[in-house]
Amino acid sequence: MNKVWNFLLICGIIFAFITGSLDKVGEVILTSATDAFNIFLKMALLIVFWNGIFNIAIKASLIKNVTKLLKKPLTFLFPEIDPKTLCMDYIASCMVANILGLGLAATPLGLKAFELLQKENSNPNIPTRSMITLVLLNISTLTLFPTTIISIRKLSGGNTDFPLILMMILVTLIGFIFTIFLDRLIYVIKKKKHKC
Amino acid sequence: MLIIVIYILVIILCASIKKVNAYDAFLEGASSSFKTLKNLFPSVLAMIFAINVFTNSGIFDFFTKVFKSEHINILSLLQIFIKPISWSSSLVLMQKIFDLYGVNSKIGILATLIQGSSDTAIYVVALYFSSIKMQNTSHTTWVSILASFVSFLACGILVWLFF
Repeated sequence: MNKVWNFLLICGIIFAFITGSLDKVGEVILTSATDAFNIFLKMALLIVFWNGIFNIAIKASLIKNVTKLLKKPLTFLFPEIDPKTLCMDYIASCMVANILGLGLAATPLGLKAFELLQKENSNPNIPTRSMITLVLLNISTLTLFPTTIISIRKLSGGNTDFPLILMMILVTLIGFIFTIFLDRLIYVIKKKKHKC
Repeated sequence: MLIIVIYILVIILCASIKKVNAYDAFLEGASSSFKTLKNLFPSVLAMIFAINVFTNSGIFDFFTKVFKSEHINILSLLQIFIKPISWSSSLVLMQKIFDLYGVNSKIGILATLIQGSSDTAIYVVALYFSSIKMQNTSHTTWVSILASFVSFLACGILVWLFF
C-alpha cells in the first residue's frame, strides 16, 4: 500500500508542476480532510448498521441451517477431509457466510478451520492441498447478497436494479469457477511432477 | 432494493423463530464495529488525500490525449490495482468515481462490479498464513491475484456488453 500511496502523491505533484495546476492541487489538499470525513461518514454508518444485522443472523444460527445443503459439493472440493469432522463443519459454515454476504462472520470461521487443518498437517512448514483451497475459496467466493455495496450505491443515488445485482453475482461466480479450476490444475501438475 | 428488505426480513424471522434476542444482537454487532471504524478513518483520509492530489494534477487530460480514447479510464485502472491490496481504499476510490462521473455511468457501474467481485487477495492470504505463523504460502498468492484479475476482466466485458 505504501508504494501505491507514494506513487500517487509523487506522480500527482510532478504532473501538477508540468501542467501548472499547482494552485488547484494546493487547494484540494486542504479540503481533503473534509472530503474524507464525508465519505467516511457515509461508509461508517452503513458498516455499523450491517454489522448489527449480520450479528442477528449469526446469533440466530442462520448459517448452520444452510450448511447442511453444502456438505456434498464441498466433499468434491476438499476430497482429503472427512465430511463428518468438525473441520468440515467450519469450512461449510465459512462458505455459507461468504455466500450470504456475511463477510464479517466468515473470517473467524475460516481461520478456525485453517488452524484445525494445520494441526493435521504432517509437514507444518508447507501448506496442505486443503489449506490452499480454503484460502483461495475465501478470496473468491460466490456472493449472492452483496449487501454493503448495494447500500452504498443506493445512498449515492444510483440504480440498484435486479440486472445489476445479477451481474455482480455473475462476476463472483466467474472468479469462483476460475479459482477452483486453477487450483485443481496446479494440483494435478504438481502430482505429476512428484511421480517423475 | 427489494432483495435487501427481504434479506433483512428473513434474518429477523429466523431470529424470532429461534427465540433469539434480535434487538440485543443488533446492538452488540453495531457497537463491535466501532473498533474497526477507528482504524478505518486514517486510511480513508490518507487515500482521499492521495487520490485528490492525483486526480487534480491534470493527469487526466494528459491521459486522454495520449490514448485518444474515453474507454480507458485511469481511475478504473487504479482501482484494479488497489483492490487486491486494500478493501477500504478501493471503496474510497469507488465513492470518488461516483462523485466524479455519476453512479449510473459506465465507469460507476464498472467500479461497483470491481468492488463486489473478489475479496482483497493479498490481505486475506497474509491474514490466514500469519494466523498460523507459516512462511510458505505456496501458490496461493499468485493464483488469488490471477483470479481477481480474471473477475475484473469479466466485469469489464459485462459492462462493455450491456451498457
